[in-house]
Amino acid sequence: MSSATMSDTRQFQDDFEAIDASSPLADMRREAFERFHELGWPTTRSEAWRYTNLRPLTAANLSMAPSTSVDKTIIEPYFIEDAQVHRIVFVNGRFDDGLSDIGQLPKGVTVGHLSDAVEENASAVLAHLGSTFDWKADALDALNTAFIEDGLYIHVPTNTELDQPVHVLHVTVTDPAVAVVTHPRTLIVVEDGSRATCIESCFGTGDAMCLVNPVTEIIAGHGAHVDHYREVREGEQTWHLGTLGVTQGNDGQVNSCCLALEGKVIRNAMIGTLEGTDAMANLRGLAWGTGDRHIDNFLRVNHMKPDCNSREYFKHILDDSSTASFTGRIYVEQDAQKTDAVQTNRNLLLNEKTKVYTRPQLEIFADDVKCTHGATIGRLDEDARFYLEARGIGREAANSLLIFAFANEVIEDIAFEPLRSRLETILLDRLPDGGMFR
Amino acid sequence: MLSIKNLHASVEGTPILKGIELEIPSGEVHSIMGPNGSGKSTLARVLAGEETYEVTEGSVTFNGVDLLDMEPDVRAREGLFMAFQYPVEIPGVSTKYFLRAAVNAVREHRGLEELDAYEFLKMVKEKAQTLDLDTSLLDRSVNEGFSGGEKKRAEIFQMAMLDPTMCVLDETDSGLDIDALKVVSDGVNALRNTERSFLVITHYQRLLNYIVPDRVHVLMDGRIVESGDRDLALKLEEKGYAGLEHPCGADA
Repeated sequence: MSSATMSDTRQFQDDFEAIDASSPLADMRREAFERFHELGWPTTRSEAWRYTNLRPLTAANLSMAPSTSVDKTIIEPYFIEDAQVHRIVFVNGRFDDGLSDIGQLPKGVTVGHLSDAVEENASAVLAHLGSTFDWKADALDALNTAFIEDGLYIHVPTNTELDQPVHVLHVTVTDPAVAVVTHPRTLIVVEDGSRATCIESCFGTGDAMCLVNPVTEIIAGHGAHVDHYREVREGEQTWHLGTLGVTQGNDGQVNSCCLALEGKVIRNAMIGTLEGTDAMANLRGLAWGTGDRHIDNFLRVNHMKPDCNSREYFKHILDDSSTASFTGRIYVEQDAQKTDAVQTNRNLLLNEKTKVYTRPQLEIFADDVKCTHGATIGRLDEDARFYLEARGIGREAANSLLIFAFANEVIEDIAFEPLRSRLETILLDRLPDGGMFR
Repeated sequence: MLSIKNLHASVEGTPILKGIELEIPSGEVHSIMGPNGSGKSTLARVLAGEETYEVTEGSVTFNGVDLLDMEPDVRAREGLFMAFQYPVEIPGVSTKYFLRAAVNAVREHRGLEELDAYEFLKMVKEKAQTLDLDTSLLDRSVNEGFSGGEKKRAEIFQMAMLDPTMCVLDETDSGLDIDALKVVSDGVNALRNTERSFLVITHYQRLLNYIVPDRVHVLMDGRIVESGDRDLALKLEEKGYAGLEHPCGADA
């Protein structure tokens, strides 16, 4: 590691020192901060960051986003129409009580400040925080951990259904004078036999450069069912470098879907570990590249015990000069017999200047497993387009409908209907003549 | 209605159609029969406007207008409908949304009001009833996972919804069992009227037992070599295409 990298990473020292060092999280945070310095900013020489060059970001003089609030009119367009939700709003990575509207929660359910949970029961939180994946392996995850001051804590006790989804809105107020950084942290613990849905919507005000570095962890107990969505609609110059860590017990199911729609660079790291038997992990993603956007889907699914299923289904639509990469590793432990893992990455390239890198990786130590992966890269299907034209639909509208169809295979799987129709609308709105298909 | 004169067309430089002459008046059902490779499907696709087929000579007028000058979508809006031999599966596109967009594109072209979701569904129910079709196919993606019979029935249903004046059926009978064939034929017959013409392209005369044509034309090597009434189809059934005498003008 070069000394230049070391000194670059010291830019956060003052911000780090400013956080209360007496919290029960202080040791973890200090360790994380040190770890960040040891690792330094990732470069494209590291396997995990091979396709995403952080240099333009690290060259900027990044500083912690200040505490601020926004007018309600800024966040309202991101509310999900016709949906009852427990609403949480984060502004610049900080929990905003004024804008949040948690409403009535079922008995025993906690949805609130992570800092409150730490104060009330530090050991319960510490048992889970940072437990779902090896955050020490990645500098950005370590950096997020170093800056856990507050965050969102969702706890659903045994055999309980969270009646409505939790909708988390992450607003970043960008500043033309300085590149700000936020480190949103979310911890979702769904105990045995329980159910919950959480939707994260990430967006910003203004077009200045900034880094949004969220980490969300889901701990799903035996028989738990969790639906998680992350909708990335960041500002034009925002680097959204997010990680999702998931652990699952026996029999449960976790579905997570990342919708990478807007932002300069969108990285979606998902690390799922099936620690029990007979569980299902279903990870999906839709990425839409326009302009010079870069999208990096980085997946790792670990099968530790027998009889689990995992599905990865990622689609990229690339236009203009956008680029995307998909790295999907399936790891199967020796003990994880009868694993059934399927990984799919499909790419639709609408332009000569677009580029996609797709890289499946299988690491299998069990001998009785079914692991398949498939990747396709293609253009719009001319036969399908002719079929639509032959029914009176103009060429541009036919193209739009086919692009929508490609995207819709991810969207139509969204279980929460109001979110599904919202995304349909977003997609159709950005397609020429898309309104025809409403 | 449809007037084809000296139509020549090629695919990637290979001539397929070599001077087709055909007149289809309003309200008539014409059938084109011919062996494999005679150019039957090429004719259908040239009429529908597929880019792969290059028209090198001749003309096609549709209701007095130059058909070949129109984009495929405009042809459809003008009232030409081709039922595909192999309807394309389009995963992710709901049949309902697709069909409403198509119906509204056609209606707009004809100066009619756009249908809202409610009116559209009403129309769907009416048409489905007339054709005795099950509307559950509408809840699926366009043709996705449909059986051969379902695909062809869906084509006829689309035809009913788009209300064309000239319908081209490209080997609609291929891959159908007798029951499906009957359903499809009943659908076509229900849509027959004095304003609407049909061009039924088929390899086998079997279909013509159900859809009885006014005229039958035999296409061989890119030209119509014989025309007659429906008895011609029966004659073909009996003697096969090889049994036809080559009339003058055909390749010796």
